[in-house]
Amino acid sequence: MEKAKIILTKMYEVFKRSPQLHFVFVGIVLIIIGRIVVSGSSHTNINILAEVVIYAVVALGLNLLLGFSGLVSLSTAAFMGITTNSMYVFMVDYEISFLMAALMAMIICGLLGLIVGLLSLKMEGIYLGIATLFIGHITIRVIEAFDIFARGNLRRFPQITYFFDFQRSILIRDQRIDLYTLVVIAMVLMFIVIYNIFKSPTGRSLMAISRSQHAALAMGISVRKYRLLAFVIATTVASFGGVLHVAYFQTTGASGKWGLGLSLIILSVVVIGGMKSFHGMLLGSFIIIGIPALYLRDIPFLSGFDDILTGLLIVLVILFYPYGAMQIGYDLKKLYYKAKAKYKARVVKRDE
Amino acid sequence: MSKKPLLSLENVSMNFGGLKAVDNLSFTINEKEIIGLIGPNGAGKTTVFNCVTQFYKQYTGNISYVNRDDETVDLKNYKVTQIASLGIARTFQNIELIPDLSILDNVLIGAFNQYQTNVIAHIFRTPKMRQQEKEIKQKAENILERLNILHLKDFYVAGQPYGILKKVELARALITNPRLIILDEPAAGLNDRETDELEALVYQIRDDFDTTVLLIEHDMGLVMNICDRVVAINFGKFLAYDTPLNIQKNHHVQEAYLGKDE
Amino acid sequence: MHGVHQLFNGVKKIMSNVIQVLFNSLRLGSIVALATLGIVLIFRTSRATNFAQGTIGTFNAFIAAYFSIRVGLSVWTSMLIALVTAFIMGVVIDKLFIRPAAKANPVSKQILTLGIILILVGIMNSSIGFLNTVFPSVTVRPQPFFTTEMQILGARVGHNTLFIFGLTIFLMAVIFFVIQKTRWGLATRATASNEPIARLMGVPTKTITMFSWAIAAMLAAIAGISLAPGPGIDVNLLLGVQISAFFAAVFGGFSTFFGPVVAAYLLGFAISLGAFVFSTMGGSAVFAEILVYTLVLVILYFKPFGLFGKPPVRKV
Repeated sequence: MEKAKIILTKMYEVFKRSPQLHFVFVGIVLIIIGRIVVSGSSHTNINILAEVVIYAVVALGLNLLLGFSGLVSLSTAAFMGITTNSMYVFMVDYEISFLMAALMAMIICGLLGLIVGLLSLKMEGIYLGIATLFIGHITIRVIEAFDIFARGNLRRFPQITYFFDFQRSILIRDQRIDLYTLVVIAMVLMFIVIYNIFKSPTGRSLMAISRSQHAALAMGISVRKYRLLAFVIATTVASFGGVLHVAYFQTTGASGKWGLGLSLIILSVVVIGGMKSFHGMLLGSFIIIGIPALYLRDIPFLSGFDDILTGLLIVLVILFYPYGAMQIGYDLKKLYYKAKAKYKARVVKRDE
Repeated sequence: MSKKPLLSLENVSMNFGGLKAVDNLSFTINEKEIIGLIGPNGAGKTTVFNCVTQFYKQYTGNISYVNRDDETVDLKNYKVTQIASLGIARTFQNIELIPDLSILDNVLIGAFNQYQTNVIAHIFRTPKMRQQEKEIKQKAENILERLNILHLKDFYVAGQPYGILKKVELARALITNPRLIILDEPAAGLNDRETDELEALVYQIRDDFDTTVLLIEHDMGLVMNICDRVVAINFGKFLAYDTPLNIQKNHHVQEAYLGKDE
Repeated sequence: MHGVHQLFNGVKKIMSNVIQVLFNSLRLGSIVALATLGIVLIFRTSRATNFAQGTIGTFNAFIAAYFSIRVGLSVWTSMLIALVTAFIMGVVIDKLFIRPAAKANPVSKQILTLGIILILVGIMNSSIGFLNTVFPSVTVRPQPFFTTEMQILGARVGHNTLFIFGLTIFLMAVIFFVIQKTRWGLATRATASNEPIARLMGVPTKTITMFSWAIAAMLAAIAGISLAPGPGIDVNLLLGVQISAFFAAVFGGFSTFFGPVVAAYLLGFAISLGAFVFSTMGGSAVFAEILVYTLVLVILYFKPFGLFGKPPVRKV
């Protein structure tokens, strides 16, 4: 009994000190929630949960750029669209396997990220933001210009073999949970990857170039190199989000979906979730994408008001929680301790 | 004391749109010396530092440096990012730290050149990367311990008092294995007790870390106490290069600080 | 002799085509110019990138359409009413959202304007009785200002286009005059170059910012009303204009007021001309946009602060 207790406390200690394990834990919780959702009456909500998870991943990639490296991108969604469309061409027209196609699409986006990075060597702030918008806009227009991409129309992938002979279809109700589980596992892996980058010399260098260029240079950190790297990583992660979109929804998404609007939504996930926050991305994604789709639309009185409420939510969080919605948690904690202290004081008083 | 030259400036000039910030300056500093660079406000002291560390590249003249292999090299042939690996480290007049990183992480930024791993290794946390991270962290902690701020290592930089920040900058410079350490106004903003501590620290840096120290300072007491020799400049021009005692007697220097007696 | 005549005719035909393209691009160029001037004005005075410029314009174009189609007022009266609502909207947005977030970082302010977009789009999409009559879910197509047209240099030009172009040039002239020559303009320029210092010098920066939002909203409304008769009004009326306006702002240079306006016309003409050339060669008009924007991007790489812009002054 004693031994078990010691082992348990030791395990708890290890867990407490390892954020990577936290991500795994969150992943398990998400999968359990998914299983509950699919067994319930509103089982289509699993699609929304998958969307929340996918955009949490994409937002984390953008956060690496915005929160850590102080750079902005307004074409995150465009890179997802490029990925879905090029994967369709690779997989359907050239019969390349899913994993290989995903890898190739991510490399393409990484290279595009390099171009954005080159611009970032010259521009800053809003100039850079709009330059990234240019790149996204141009590439989406390219998709719309060519028949090989069906001129940007939505296309559904035929049966996808993910790996070995793992085949699932979103059209079959019972198979959705497997796809969702796949997406969650991918999310956990990506969270760990980005956390590892953050806690490494690379992560520190990314922060150095944004917070103090002079110090970075004096310590031998090339601002140019790390700006390029930041954009390459961020676009690759956005592309990974596109891969997840293909993996779960099995469509390319119409070209109109991948415009400035969605990029702004992803940006708002970062701002609402909190810069440099990891779990905040899930919270932000849930607030921005999940709540309107899951709850607001179902309330008859509020129908059509979901956009307004999301807008108000964004405005309120920015005005009152400039460091992100995760801050609400700290405030609640503070309130709890305050109440506890008050209660204790009252108890002490009564006892006297 | 050894008398091998380490850094030598020959006829260095630097112009900012017609304004001569540094004007035909020459001096040489030897290994294991503590050299002070003094001059009234706007005399071009920080500009000299920025030229040496290659932040400014448009200077004329020659800045030569003896590298770890005892070869004399022209610093102009190196990029600003290569200066640290040559063994020249610096601190800044205005603190240049990363506010939202811990003190330990800030020091680790100085060890950038010592990592032989790339991003891929960082993503997967390869055993080699972890081993290296552990070794360098140990080294950083040793330095922090010597500067008496090890107990603060996990705190964020933001919100720390000025004296601590100066020490963190110093630690970040020290972890680069410097042969020459350049301090830009290390005592500015420090109280008397901290200044005294700094004095001991500069000796400690020279002896324990085996480095040469070049510092800009306005606190004349500190300069006179610790420097072996002092370079005085005014309006970018060389005034004198001598022992502290002689510098105090030098009438050019007195004129620069107090004005000419008419 | 015959060959020369043929050549001359050919050149004349090309010329009249180019002139036709030029006039065609004037309308959209003017609309983009109006939108971009609003964006620049807001960016310079309150350091916010206004993504909501297009949505504000669309919202007020709906209001103008409601009064001209449903209520039956003249096009002109409806526009005046919409300008008043736009003014009020600009003031409200500044008071409610932008001012309280004065200390937020630029990215948060961008997202704040996204919040404004969502709120406005939500109102426009709502199916509640009254709102649904002002903002119907079907496309509404209001009357243009003029329906007549005339011949200039062999090209057919609508009076409507000329009016919009004239109005834009007039508004630009007024705004530039105010900015360059009046006390208010001086205050605006002072606020734009350094808000805290301007405030310390006694410039009423709050009022300046508020009026900037109000004027920007009015410019957006005019842009929306001018565009509406063509494609008809739906929620996404000014989406493309909004993006073009951003591109024009950066291409012309955010740091000047006239650069973005010039760039708006330049881009509009270049894309129209490209589209014309591609379509005569049997290609898709989309390629023109791709080509022009890629070219702009290359130019921006070498002139990162735009054609007319200057790099911000920074201390080392």
